Amino acid sequence: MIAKMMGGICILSATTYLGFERAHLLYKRVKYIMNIKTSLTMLESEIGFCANRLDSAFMTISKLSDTQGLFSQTAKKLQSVGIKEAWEMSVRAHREKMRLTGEDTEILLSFGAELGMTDRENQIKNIRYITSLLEKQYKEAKEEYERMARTYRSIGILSGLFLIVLLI
Amino acid sequence: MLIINNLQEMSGRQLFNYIPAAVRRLLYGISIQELEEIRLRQGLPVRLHFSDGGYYITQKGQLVQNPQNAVKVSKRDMDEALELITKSSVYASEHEIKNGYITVQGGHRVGICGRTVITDGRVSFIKDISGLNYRFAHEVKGASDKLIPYIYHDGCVENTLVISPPQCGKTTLLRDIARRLSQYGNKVSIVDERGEIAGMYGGLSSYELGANTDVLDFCPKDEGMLMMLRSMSPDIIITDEIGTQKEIAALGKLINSGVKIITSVHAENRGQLQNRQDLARLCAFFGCFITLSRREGAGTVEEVYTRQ
Repeated sequence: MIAKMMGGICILSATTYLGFERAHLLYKRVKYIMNIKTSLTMLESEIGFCANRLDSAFMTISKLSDTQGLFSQTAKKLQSVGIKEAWEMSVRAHREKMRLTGEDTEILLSFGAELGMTDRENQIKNIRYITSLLEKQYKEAKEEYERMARTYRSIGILSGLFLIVLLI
Repeated sequence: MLIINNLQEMSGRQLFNYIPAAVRRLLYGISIQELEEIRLRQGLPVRLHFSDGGYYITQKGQLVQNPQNAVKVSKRDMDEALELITKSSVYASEHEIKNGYITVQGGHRVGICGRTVITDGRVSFIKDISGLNYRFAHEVKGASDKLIPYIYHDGCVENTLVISPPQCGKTTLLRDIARRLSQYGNKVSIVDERGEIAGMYGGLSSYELGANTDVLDFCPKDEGMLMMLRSMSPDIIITDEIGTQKEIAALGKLINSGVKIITSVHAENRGQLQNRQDLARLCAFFGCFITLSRREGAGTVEEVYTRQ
């Protein structure tokens, strides 16, 4: 009996964990997009007011917001390659880890295409445009999280219970 | 493997970091002692200008006179060069691009050609870059040794005008004069509109300018000279390439406020200055005129004229 109970607890905790983990992955995307948006606001002032070069602007931003090294890695790569390539490499490296969708990645990549190589006014326009696109993605990600997180968690617990019932 | 065995060579090589990789690769075997300019023009061969003339370069890195086998510059190379020169931040160099050049680490200057964008009747940007001119800045310590007695005697500094066509070592000379006068204990202020005299990078000068030298860089000369006068109480103000009405007016103000001026102007000789109405007025301010040419290499002193 005790063995059965122990087994049951194991199964239940495993499936619950899976459900919660799944929900957390959704949250990761929401948070990440939000952090990128905040970083872009900082970048706007770095470019607009200070006219700092991208490498130093990116380093400043990476210290102030948590983007998992997206900006600091790009800044480091800038020493050897151009911005477009450096940004693309960093975005692709973070894509899986941060659960970004294809659309998120596309938006971020299109940001890199214009980054740095036009005058200040157009840089700011580009940043604002990308921020507005990310805003949309953020809302969508948040909705998805709110909708699905609870479902994933419930499925986790319930499937555990179901397995236990089956096995008893 | 290349061994860099002197400082000048090393500082010159810094400029290579701003040249697109495809071209840079070819340049490593070349001595840069006599190298003055590297020119990249889209669709045309790379051209290197040494003090004894221009050469093309082949795929094997050999210098040739004939452009037939020369390496050509592609659009991709030009784009890469622009990214390297501006560190992928064109917007941060807008002000410099507008003036037609960017100063990079080491005080070297890259001239830019392309299509200009006009806003409110003035050049606001250069797009579709078609030509780049990498100019090596050379530090020649002692360039002013023979001229210093004319400029500085009995503890007095003479208002000095360096007259020279482009590429004759005028900036190098001004830099050395600044160093010497600063060593003698004069408070020297350099107003470096193009960032060429001092080659400031991250708050440090790329050259030895003496312990008494202050530098204000990338500031319009007319405004900068007056700022220095008010803020740094200089004995001597050194600046480069005077020419516009505003600058001449500012010089007039400075000369009458007890500060000594050492500056340069683009012209062949003193006679030419007299022929230009605006510059003739400029001559009245100065007591010592130094004329440079390239007759025996950059920095040949043609004439020293003092009003006495």
